[in-house]
Parts: sequence; C-alpha cells; structure tokens
Amino acid sequence: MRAFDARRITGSGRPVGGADPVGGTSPEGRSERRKGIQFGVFFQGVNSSTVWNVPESGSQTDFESFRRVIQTAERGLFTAFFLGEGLRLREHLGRLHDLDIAGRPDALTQLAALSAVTEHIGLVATQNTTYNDPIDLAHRLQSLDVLSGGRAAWNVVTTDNAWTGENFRRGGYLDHADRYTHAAYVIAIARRVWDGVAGGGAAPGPGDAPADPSVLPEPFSYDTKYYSVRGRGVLPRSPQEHPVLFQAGDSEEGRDFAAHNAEVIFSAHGDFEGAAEFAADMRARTVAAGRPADDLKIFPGQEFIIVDDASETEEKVRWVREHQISPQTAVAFVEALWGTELSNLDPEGPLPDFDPVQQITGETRGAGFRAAKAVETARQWRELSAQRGYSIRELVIHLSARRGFAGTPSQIADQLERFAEAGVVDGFNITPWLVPGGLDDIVNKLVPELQERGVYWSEYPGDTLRENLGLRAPLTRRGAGRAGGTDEATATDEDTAGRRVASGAE
Amino acid sequence: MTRSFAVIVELDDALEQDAAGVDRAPASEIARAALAAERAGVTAVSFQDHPTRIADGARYGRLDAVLRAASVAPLTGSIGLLPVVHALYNEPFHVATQLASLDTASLGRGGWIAAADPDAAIAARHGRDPLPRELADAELVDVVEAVRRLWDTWEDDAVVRDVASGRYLDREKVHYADFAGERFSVKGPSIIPRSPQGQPVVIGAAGSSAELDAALVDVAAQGAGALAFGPAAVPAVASAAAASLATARDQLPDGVLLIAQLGFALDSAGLPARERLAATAAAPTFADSRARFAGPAHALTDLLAAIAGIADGVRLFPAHLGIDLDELGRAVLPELRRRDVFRSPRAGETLRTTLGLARPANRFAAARGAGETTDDTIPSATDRLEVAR
Repeated sequence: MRAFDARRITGSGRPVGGADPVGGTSPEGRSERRKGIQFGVFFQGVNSSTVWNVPESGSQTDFESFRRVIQTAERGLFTAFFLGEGLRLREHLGRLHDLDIAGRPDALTQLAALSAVTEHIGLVATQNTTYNDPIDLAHRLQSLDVLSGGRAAWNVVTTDNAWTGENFRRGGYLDHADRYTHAAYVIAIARRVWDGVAGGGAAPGPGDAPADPSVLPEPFSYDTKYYSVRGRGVLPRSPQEHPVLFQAGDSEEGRDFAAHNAEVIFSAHGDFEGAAEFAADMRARTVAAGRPADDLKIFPGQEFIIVDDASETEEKVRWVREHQISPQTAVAFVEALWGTELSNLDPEGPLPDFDPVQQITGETRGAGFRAAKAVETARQWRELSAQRGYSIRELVIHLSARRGFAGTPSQIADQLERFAEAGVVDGFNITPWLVPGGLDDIVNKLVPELQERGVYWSEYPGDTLRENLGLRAPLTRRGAGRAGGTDEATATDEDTAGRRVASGAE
Repeated sequence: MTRSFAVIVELDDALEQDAAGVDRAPASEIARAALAAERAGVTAVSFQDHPTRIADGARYGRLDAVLRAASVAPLTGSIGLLPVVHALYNEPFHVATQLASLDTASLGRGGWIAAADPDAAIAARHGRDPLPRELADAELVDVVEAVRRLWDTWEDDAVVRDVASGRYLDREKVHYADFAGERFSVKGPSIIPRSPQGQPVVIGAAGSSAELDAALVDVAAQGAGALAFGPAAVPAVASAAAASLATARDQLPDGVLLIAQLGFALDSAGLPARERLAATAAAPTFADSRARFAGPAHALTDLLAAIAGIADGVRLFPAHLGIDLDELGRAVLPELRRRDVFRSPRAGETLRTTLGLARPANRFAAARGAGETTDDTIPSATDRLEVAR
C-alpha cells in the first residue's frame, strides 16, 4: 500500500494497515476526521431518477455498465459502491409498472464479480432481513467479505408486506410492527455466524495463543418469534472482521435501530440545516445506545449535476428533471395517488377535478406513498399547483425533485466544504442520474477540486472498508463492557461477550 | 449443433492457512485456478459447496459457490462456471436470481449443479423442517420448475426503451411465474431480465425426475464402495462405466447430456501419482469420488476417449489441483483434441453452445403466440399496446 498523508485529512498520524485492522485512531483523530468528505455511489438499477431515454444512457443491466461505474468510482477514490434490492417487480394499478428502469442483478452475486475488477472500493449489498434466511444470508455476506479482502457491507432493509412475500416460502409472515424487532434477530444471528470461526473464535493477534484449527465452532440455536434456526459459522474472519452494517430507515424506529445496530446510515437529509439536525439527533441516539457518538457515520443520498459554467446550471437541471419525469411518468404518478387509470389526463394540464377514488394509497409504489391519506394529499397538490401555476408534469417534477448539488465544480466544492467543516455528514452517497457515464464529471472535475482544498483524500487510507470509513471494531468484537448497541436480540448472544478486547476499542 | 465432449474440472475451494498461520487471499487463489483451467482449455469449471459441512482435514467451510463462480466471471472468457447450489431448503426465488446474475455477468457461461441433499442440518440452518428422503426428488422437481419459470418471466426483448411511449419495458412481455407446488409457491416475475443463455444450464444427479440439461453419473457407480484404479484397470472401468451410463440413459429423457464423474491423479515430474497420494492429503472432492484414477496421462487419455464414446462429458476431480490440472492441460487434453474427441470452448460462446445444447424457447412467449412476432415487428406490437395520451 502506498503511503497516505493521513494528517492532511484527519489531523492525526492515524496508523493505517498492518496487523491491527481497525486502527488505533485517537479520539482527536476521529473528531478531526470529519473535515474530510467521502463519496459513495448508489447504482440504483430500479428507479425513476436515472435517465434512460437519451442516447448517452447505456444498458442498466449489462455487466459492462456496472464495471464502468465502479471502476470510475474507484478512480475517484470513492469509499463504497452500493447496490439496491427489491424482491418484487413494481406494479402500478395492479399491473407491472412499465415506465421506469426495472430489472437488476442479485446484489451479492454482482458484487462478487465486481470485486474481481476492483481493489479498494467498498461493496455494499442491500439485503432484506425478512425474506432471507439469516444464517444463509450471513454466510453469503461473509463469503463476499472474505473474497474481497474485507470490503463487504450489508445495507440492512426490512419488509413486511405480504405482496413481496408471495415470492417466498414463508409468504407474508411478518407483522408490520415487528419488522425492526425481527431485523434485530437477523443481525444477532449474523453476528453469531461471523463470530464463530474455526480455532476457537480468536482472530490471531498480538499476545493471542495460536488458533487451534481442530476446534470448530459449536453450532448455536436461535429462536426468532417466527422461526428457529440452528447452524454455525464455518468461514474465516475477513480482515475487517465483520461486514460493515449500513441502514437507511428514517422513522423514529428506524433511527433507533440504526443507533443500536448500524455503522453507517444513509440519510435523506442532504440540505445543510436538515443534515445538521439529523446529525445531532443521530449522535444523541447513538450515545443513548451506549456507543460513542461517532460510531455511526452519516451519508446522505445526493444527486450531483455538474456544469462547466454557472450560467448553464438552470438549463441542465431542467433538462435532467424533464428526462427523469416523462409526460407518461407524470400521469402515472397522479394515477398512483388517485388509484385509477387516467389515460386521458393531459400532463401539461391541471390535476383531475374529482377526488381520488381511494382513501389510502397502496404500498407498491414505494414507501413515500404508503398510508398517505389520498384525498388530503390531493388537496395539498391542488393547492401547491394553484399557488405556483404548475402543470401536472411541473408538479410531479417538483414533488420528485431529489436533494442534490448543482453548479460548477467550484460552486459545489464550496458547499461540500461547509458540510465538511461543520462535520454534519461523513460523506455523500451519490445517485448518478446517468448510467454508465454519470460519475465522469464528478471524478474528473469535482474530486480534484475537493482534493485541492484538502477535504478529499488523495489515496485510500486503508485496505478494508472499515478502515476507510474510520470505524471501530464490530460491536461484538470489542470485548465485555464495550458491546454497546446490544438490544433484546443481541443481548441473548451469550457467547460473543468477553472474547477478546480488540485493539483499537476504547 | 455438433455433438461435443465436455471436460469439466472441479476447482473446489481450499481456504487454508499458510505455514505462518495467515489465510491465503482466497480471491487470488480462486482466480489463479480458474485462469489455469481456462488456459488448459477445459469446457467448464465446477465449484463444490455444502452449507454446513467442513470437509475432512479442512480448516474452514467453503465460501458460497455462486459468489466464487461470479468472482471469476469477469476474469475469464470461455469456460463455463458451474456452482453447486443446494436447492431443497433455500428460496427458489433467490436461487433463480443469483444464477441468472451469474449468467449475465459471465455473458452466458453460467450453470447450476442442483444438489438435493435432504440433510436435516441444512433444513435447520434455514429454519425449516427436514424433508423425508423420499420427498427430496419431488421437491427438487418443484424447485427446478419454479426456477425455470422465473428465468422465462422476462421475454428476451421485454426491455423496449421506447421513448415515444415513455415505456422502459413492454409489460406484455413480462410474466408472472405463478408456480404453486406442494410445499411452496412463487409469484414472480423475476427481478432480473432473462439472461444471455435464456436459462443457465441445469445439471443434476442421474435418476432425478427434475428437468435437467445434463445428469451426473458416477463412473462405476454400480455396487458398493469406492473404486481406486490404475492404468491396468482402464479397460474394465471403461466397460463398467458403459453399463452405469446405459442405466442412467434409460432413466432420462432424450436430449439430457450424461456427464461421468471421476477423480484423477496424474504422474508428474517423475513422481508417480500413487506416491504423491500416499504422501500428501488429496482434495476432499477427490477423496469423495466414487471412482479414482491414478497413473500416467496416456492411460487417462484412453479412459476419457472410451467414455467419450458413451457419455457427453466428464466432471473431473483433481487430487491436487495445481499439479493435476497442469498435467491434464499439458498431456491429456491435447491428445483428446488430436483424436477429435474434444474441442476447447471458444471465447464469446455461451456454455450451451459449447455443450451443444439449444437455447431454450421461452415458455411464456410461446404461450403468448410469439410465433407471429419477430424482432422487427416490435414497434407495431408496442403501438398496439400503447394507450394514447
């Protein structure tokens, strides 16, 4: 590994690499560290925000598109590459939704392939806790982690709807209210798998007795409320010990779940004030969960629209939005709220003059619509349209506008510098609006600008994702008394406490 | 398509520690082995897996076989990639997506060795009730059918990206799988478009009534016990293999390929294979083989040439991957090529093409009466479906 001037970013001589995979970061180093900004990239695959209807838009499915995006991201020293997952094809009014990009590979399989053509970038797989079998999921995540030399992460998502369950053996077995409790079970089981390695469980470290290869981990049993599993971990630990845990929930429950379990949270709060508020709230929750405030890194999802000349910004933003929201997409958006086909609706005209035929919207369009009161929402939309003189398409463009940065590299760098100085985020998870070329301007123009200003690293500081994120050892690898973040589920995890105090833990 | 003889080599997975107690970087080991197999010119490589067992003498279990196979997909260009996936207790929906993803990432070189071990430990790992042995095949039949239906849920030309109508996909060409079996059901559609081969190649054990593209038959499977043999026994083994294969052929529908399984160790660098086997522990998959050959390359060549007359391919389990794969590529495969028994896969060919298997028609497209729709009629088909706005 090449030398990295950690002091420039972190303000400390943080040791990198070597025998201690989680580093002995000083408290000073951690607080100073936030002066740097990191980038992740979310290759969405299924979404309405990637422009597919222009010539420069490539395949959304071919491996080459993924290779191009991840290798561009790695050239730009991005921390992580992130794949989503949706376990049922989206529907619109009871039929398959045909206007948006759909169809994407299994995240773990694709990341294993991509691990072979990258060296440093983190590989984040979104995986559902409800419709995966926990031991099997943990084994696959660990397989990717070992294969990639400690670059794997798991973005933990929950689902409870029976509609998705129709694709799986257990069907829609989970109550909505239990989804996070169940997710905690799944994480606890995964940690049992990851902590139970051959040789008695101790990773070789200074002062440890040599591992005894004949000692295989004991099988464990675990009862969730819905089913019981029995198994054991059979793989070695990766250089980062456990895959990094990501999470994205924004509800009260989701935030608490992240504070107890996650190591990175993708937030929806990308404007400065929102980000500051979110950071304060999450840090308080993290401390309340018995963890250091900086144990949870914050990465808002953001869209970047880069222009060469500031005078072009408005036009380019409009161009992107209009290609994201086609006339047909605008009508479908209104149909989803109204609950009925509106095939004669003019997207350049006003909203329907009758009320939605449904009171509560369905769940297949996405969480944003779930349980919204349709009639009330329609009233708000009409009011907004009247105030601003919006057509349907303008309204939908307004409602779907994603938070992001638009401007010249220098203008965007000014804004990012402010975030970095205030330490309200650790990085941004970029959703490119174009595949596969959507990162080119960011990597070629914005990254050098940020490097000039000393807020973006010029080399990867570590070998593993955990090191690059500046994270401590996994929660169950810090020894007794430091296993913060335990909850009802992890508290039953009796054989993970008291193993060994991982160096680097406080 | 011309009939061809497949040579599949098991790469297994030796996650071990070196003398200093450090785990060897598994990705580079796996990549090295796959690249060596491709250089040797084999048809395909297989990746053994078992979710709960740690092989005798091994320190660790195996990394997930689909992920191992995927990790070499972008590094290779001609070999088929055949992970073992146990299918009785995991989710058919995930199996279908994972294998279609492997096929897509490898540009059409993916396959699946469908294992149906009713082992209660695997069931417990998935939180499911163990399946009685007599139901294992029926369950595999259902799983393979559900997976194949999912693979067909997107017609090949379902992604239309029609700017005028605003449609990314033609939903008339994306179908629900609607599989309902005895023990599970799957709604569909798949979450990934149809893969390059239409359906990855499905390989199972002979005797299964699942819909297979190829069936694995142990050489000399008749009778009890494993058979270790040298050059002198090659004619006898060849005739025993012929009997096994004939029996298997009778159990299978026409068009299913027969793949004979055989462990092998070759004399190398002046060291007879038998001496090497006596001195060094062999790979678990070799040790588990029902028939194991040890001897000079020319004798193995004769045996494979004899098997080529009665089977469509072999799956070989090297005793020591580095040595035996090297010898196979150096001394056995060139002679088989010279005798016109075998040809190596060509870069850019799909595994189905290499194996002489047809690309499966899409059952849903056929049901929709796709006969009247050819590629260049797509615009009119979409016009018909589009609601004017």
